[in-house]
Amino acid sequence: MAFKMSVQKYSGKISEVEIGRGEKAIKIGGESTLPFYSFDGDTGNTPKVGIEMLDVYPEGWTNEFKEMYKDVCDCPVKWAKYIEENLKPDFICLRLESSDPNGLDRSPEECAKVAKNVVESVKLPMVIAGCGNHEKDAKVFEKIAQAVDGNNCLFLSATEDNYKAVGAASTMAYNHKVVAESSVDINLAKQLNVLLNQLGVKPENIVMQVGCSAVGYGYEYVASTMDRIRLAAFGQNDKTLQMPIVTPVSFESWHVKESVASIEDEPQWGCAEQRGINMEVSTAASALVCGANAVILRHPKSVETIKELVSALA
Amino acid sequence: MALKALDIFKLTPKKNCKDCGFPTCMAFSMKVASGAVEVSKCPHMSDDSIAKLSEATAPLMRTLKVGSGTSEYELGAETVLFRHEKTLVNRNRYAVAFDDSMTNEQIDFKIANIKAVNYIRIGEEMKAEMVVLEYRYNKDGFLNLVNRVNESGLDVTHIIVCEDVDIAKEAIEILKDKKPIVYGANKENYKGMVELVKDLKLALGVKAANLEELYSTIEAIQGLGYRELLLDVTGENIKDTFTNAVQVRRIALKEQDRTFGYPSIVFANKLSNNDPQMEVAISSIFTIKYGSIIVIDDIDYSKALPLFALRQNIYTDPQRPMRVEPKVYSINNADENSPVIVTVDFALTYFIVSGDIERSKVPTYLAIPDAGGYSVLTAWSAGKFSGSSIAKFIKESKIEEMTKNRDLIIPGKVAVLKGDIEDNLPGWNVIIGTEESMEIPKFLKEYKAKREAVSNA
Amino acid sequence: KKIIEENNFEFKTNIVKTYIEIDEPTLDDNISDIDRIERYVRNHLGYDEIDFTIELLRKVPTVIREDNFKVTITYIKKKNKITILNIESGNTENKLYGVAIDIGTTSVVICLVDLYTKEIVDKASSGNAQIKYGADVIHRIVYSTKKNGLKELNEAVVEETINPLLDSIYTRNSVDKDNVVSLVVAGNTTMTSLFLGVYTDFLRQEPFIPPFLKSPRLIGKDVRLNINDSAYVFIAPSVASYVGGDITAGVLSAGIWSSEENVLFIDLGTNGEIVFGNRDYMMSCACSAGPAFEGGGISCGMRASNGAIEKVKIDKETLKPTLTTIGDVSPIGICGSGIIDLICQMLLTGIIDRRGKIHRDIDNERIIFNEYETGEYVLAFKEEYNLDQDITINEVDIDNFIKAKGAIYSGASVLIESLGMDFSVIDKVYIAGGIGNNLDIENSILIGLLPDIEREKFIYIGNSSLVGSYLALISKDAKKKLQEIGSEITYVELSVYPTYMDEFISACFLPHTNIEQFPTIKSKLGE
Ligand code: B12
Ligand code: SF4
Repeated sequence: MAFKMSVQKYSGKISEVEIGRGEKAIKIGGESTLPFYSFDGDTGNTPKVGIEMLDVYPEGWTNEFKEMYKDVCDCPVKWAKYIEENLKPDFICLRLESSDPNGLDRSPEECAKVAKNVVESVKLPMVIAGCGNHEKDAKVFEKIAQAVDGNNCLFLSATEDNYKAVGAASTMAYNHKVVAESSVDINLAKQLNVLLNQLGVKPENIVMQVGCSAVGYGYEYVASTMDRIRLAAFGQNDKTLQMPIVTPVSFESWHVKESVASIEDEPQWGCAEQRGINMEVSTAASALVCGANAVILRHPKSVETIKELVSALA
Repeated sequence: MALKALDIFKLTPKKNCKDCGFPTCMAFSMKVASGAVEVSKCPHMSDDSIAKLSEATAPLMRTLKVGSGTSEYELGAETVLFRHEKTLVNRNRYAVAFDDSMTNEQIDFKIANIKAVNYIRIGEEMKAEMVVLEYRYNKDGFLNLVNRVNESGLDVTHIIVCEDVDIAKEAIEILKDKKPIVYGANKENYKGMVELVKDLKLALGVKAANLEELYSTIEAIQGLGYRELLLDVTGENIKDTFTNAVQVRRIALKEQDRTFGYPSIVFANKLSNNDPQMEVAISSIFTIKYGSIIVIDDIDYSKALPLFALRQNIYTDPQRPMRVEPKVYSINNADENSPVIVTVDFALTYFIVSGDIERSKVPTYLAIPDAGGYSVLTAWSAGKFSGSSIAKFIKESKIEEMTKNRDLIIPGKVAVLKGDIEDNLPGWNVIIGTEESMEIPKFLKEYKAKREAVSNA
Repeated sequence: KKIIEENNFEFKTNIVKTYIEIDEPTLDDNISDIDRIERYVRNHLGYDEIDFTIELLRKVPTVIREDNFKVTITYIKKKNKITILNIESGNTENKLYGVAIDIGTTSVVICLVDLYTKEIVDKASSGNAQIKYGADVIHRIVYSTKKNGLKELNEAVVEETINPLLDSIYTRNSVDKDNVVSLVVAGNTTMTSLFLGVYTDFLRQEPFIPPFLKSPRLIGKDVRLNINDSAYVFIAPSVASYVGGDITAGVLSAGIWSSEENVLFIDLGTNGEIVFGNRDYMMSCACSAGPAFEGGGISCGMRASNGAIEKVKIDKETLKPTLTTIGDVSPIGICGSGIIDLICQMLLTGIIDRRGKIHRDIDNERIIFNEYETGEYVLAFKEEYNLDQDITINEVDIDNFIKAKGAIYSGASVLIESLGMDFSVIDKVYIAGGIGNNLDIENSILIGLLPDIEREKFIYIGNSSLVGSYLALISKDAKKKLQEIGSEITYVELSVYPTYMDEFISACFLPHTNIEQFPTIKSKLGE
């Protein structure tokens, strides 16, 4: 046999979702090939890299971050502006930690005020992330969706427990985009998209979050779920899975001992900050090559490396 | 293409005689189809059936044995492109790069790094398994490097990177009883390189400017009857390397062209131009996308921890039912007064129950023993979720040091276990929980209220 | 019987009754009674030797003289020797019986068969007395590990269930137990082990190893049943720990082993056994659906008997149901086929979403939410039919039923997919089990219990295990085939099958997560 390039044509295509407004708005998805398989066809929009910030002082973060953001992290608006001007990510993810019932348990109204100020202080597209308590997220998102209407934010996220409230508030009452979140199971991901569709949420307003874990902590489930979702979306033209994927890498990679163990606990392991960055970079690179159309990171150096990697591969 | 059970079954004698150790010919055919057993295990298979089957099930990718003693490794033999289809066979190996320009101090420094990074993660040894010894221009420097590394007692597989046949010969002479990999065959020197490796049957690394040239060079080497090959897929840049790596593996396994049916090597160090973080990013990509050997500039814990952990994940057997790690999980910031809930390690149950505990906002420890990955009742029926297994886990998990509270809440569906658990766990008070998890929020809130009322009274 | 004829099984059995008139003894002809019988047999029936049991011997002296040496002997012939099973005075040639027994976890059914006419003389059934030791196989196995638990369970099925049933059927048809000379028993692996008093706990524990699949040679007195002590006893062979003789007997009666076409056999019982195949190969698995199809584990669930709601229609506007009950009496509960109808109607009228959760924003008196926020739909208010409480179905019942139907559908699709095929290859679907013959096929497909293929391919065959035992009773060749089926079926252990879990979670949705597998349902749901 003579050499012949292997080309795999697919009928399925990932929908293209726009986030943000104005010239800083971004588009994710639109591809009809596996990630970076440019030899098979259109690889769609290059994956986007976002930076995570909180609406309160980052008490739980490691000291490097407290030092890095010491002049701004007391005020979410200052913090967002600092990120936009100095770190230049593709988007910002504002995490409403203060709304956590186990924490400050701030009211939805208060959260909406803070979110509105932050969103209107920057031009970058904004991902609004809740505290992970599904009931509270639904109430907070309803208020924020109204407060930031017109800014086309992405709400992270709707789950099986609160998909009706979050889906309706974010994409029907107001015109934002919503993330459908399920945990490492292709069927649960499909079911949630079907339920959102049955509710009236248009597929092109949905982004998926199909599970996220740091490398070494069950990452194989994330890798295989993404592989199977992309193969079903392209190979079987399965409309209920043809949504772009966002992976909140920093929500997980900064909680594992490889990233947080101090040099006293593990003298052999060396500087903790570099370990945290490499864990984040490795998890993000793996997620991108498995199917993530957008990743959320925390350390500026990780953002640099991953942005460079993405442009090298695009 | 992987043969289906039914195709294999049609070639069996259909006698259900059980000599192969399986109850029926169909059971045997299913095991052959999944690659778990060889066709030859059936003593009554006709010759032409065996011929037809072995031709169809002949591996599409060669198995390469490299290195010696405790540093002997297998590469290749993969059958699928995605790990969820079937367990991946040979995990990728990492090689630290040395070259002829290095001083003895620089050589010793890297040797020390390789020796330093060696640890156990979930029962498996984590270390950089190989070294690259590269000749560029300085022959003496190169031979000094080869000798120094050889005599350093470093237990690794050696990769001689040298496109000069004569110099390579001298290096092989030094390392020959350690079965090194000899890299550097190209379209000009491949005849000489094959001569060097043929007798010792050493793995031969092949490089080329592009995939067409790589393909024709391999065909030429195969023409000489030599098939112990390792393919260099490293291109000019990251994008070309990624294309090469995917194309080579897909042409072999999907298009079934055995000319590319060999393991591959990626020089991540050359692509990351001295940026260690970029090297971690690139190495992560080729750990997932088909780099059998990944060459890195140097090794330290900040690189090893993510890369070896990712490799360990990707090469786990995807077959087991989805389960979570058996351990004690703290939910809603559990503390020394929090009660303990116990359930099974079946992922579906874990996610439902932990979600409902979170909704209750009541700080709680969630104890998950190994219950075979079954649901509560299935595990109970199969004897995998019993009074003794739960008690054993509670003791071994040392949860008694995490909380003073001795209330253990069990699933309502296995209320029958209360007596057994209390017999095996003196001092603990077993509370029968509700049947369904969605009732947990109310149940836990009432529990907490009752406890506070008691403690205030 | 059609199956027997179609597969040219000979209709013979090796048990024979013959009326003989023996020369009466005289002073000159004074050989013993036994030698006298043997002489007659040698000279008139052409066999060299006879054999007989002590029980038979104790009858001979009195019975042979009741009608001056005119008697009927019952014997089994083997080459040139016969074994005499019974002796009766006068001509009772036409009285030769066999019994077929289906030992179910919940109920036991027996039928008395005239071995000459091959007709079923009478049938009787009752609850399995073992129920007091546990509602399902697992609880009974656990009980059998307690002190003389195994003995109690064995006596519960033999002395307390089967023997009383035999006695009642004998008196009704004035049959002498010694004329029952052949017995065929079919039951799942646990029921068969407990019937033979064999320890079964290892069958329950991983890796699920049954003590035996084929039973030893047995005669009447080995099993302590009220039949001829030397009657020939045959137990239908099991395939694995959770696929038993009831299934091999069912497969025999369904004719899968001789079918040119691809047949899917589904037993909608607790173990949810499934068999797929044809004359070349047969695969089977147990998907442990649970008792939901027999109303078990459902708050107002009941077996398909009088007063059970078996059909439901819900008005889209008022959400008021119109109910049809078995026996056309006022409803007291709902059976398996009724639940299937109900879930379909709740889905089509928008009461529940495709996960089976009741929509929170419906304002209707029939939709209630309890203190755990679990939704409930009222089928019948207690005032409407003066019951002591409403008949309702709640989200836990629906979830349990969805898991049961999901287990069946995913079991069937994994079995077929293990051969690299899909549902389009199926030519016939046989449905067995106690769900009742008014199972609505269209609705069963709408909820994703059965595959979306041509409706005429579905056939309800009721208690196939009893039919299989009957065939083995009346035909030696059928009995031989039943024994072979036991070793031909390939068992697939779902708990270690790689993709089973995915298929199961995917099937726990109405009708299914992949709607493409249900083309004719898609439009109905407005997808
Ligand atoms: C899918 C299934 C299987 C799958 C296994 C899936 C798995 N990995 O477990 C397979 C097919 C392999 C299987 C096998 C068996 N199964 Co099975 N199986 C089922 C089925 C259909 C669903 C079970 C399930 O997935 N539940 C979902 C999970 C989430 O439920 P869960 O773990 O119980 O958790 C819930 C509650 O317990 C509660 N909860 C959980 N933890 C806690 C903790 C607290 C504190 C509280 C308050 C609540 C709570 O909340 C959860 C959600 O509500 C059920 C019947 C049914 N309709 O439910 C039978 C069932 C569980 N199986 C049963 C049996 C007997 C078996 C077998 C032993 C025998 C057989 N019949 O095949 C075998 C064993 C292994 C083998 N030989 O294969 C029985 C067990 C009980 C019994 N008394 O018999 C059941 C109930 C069916 C029945 N009645 O026969 N089974
Ligand atoms: S040894 Fe061969 S003929 Fe016998 S059962 Fe196994 S596969 Fe069938």
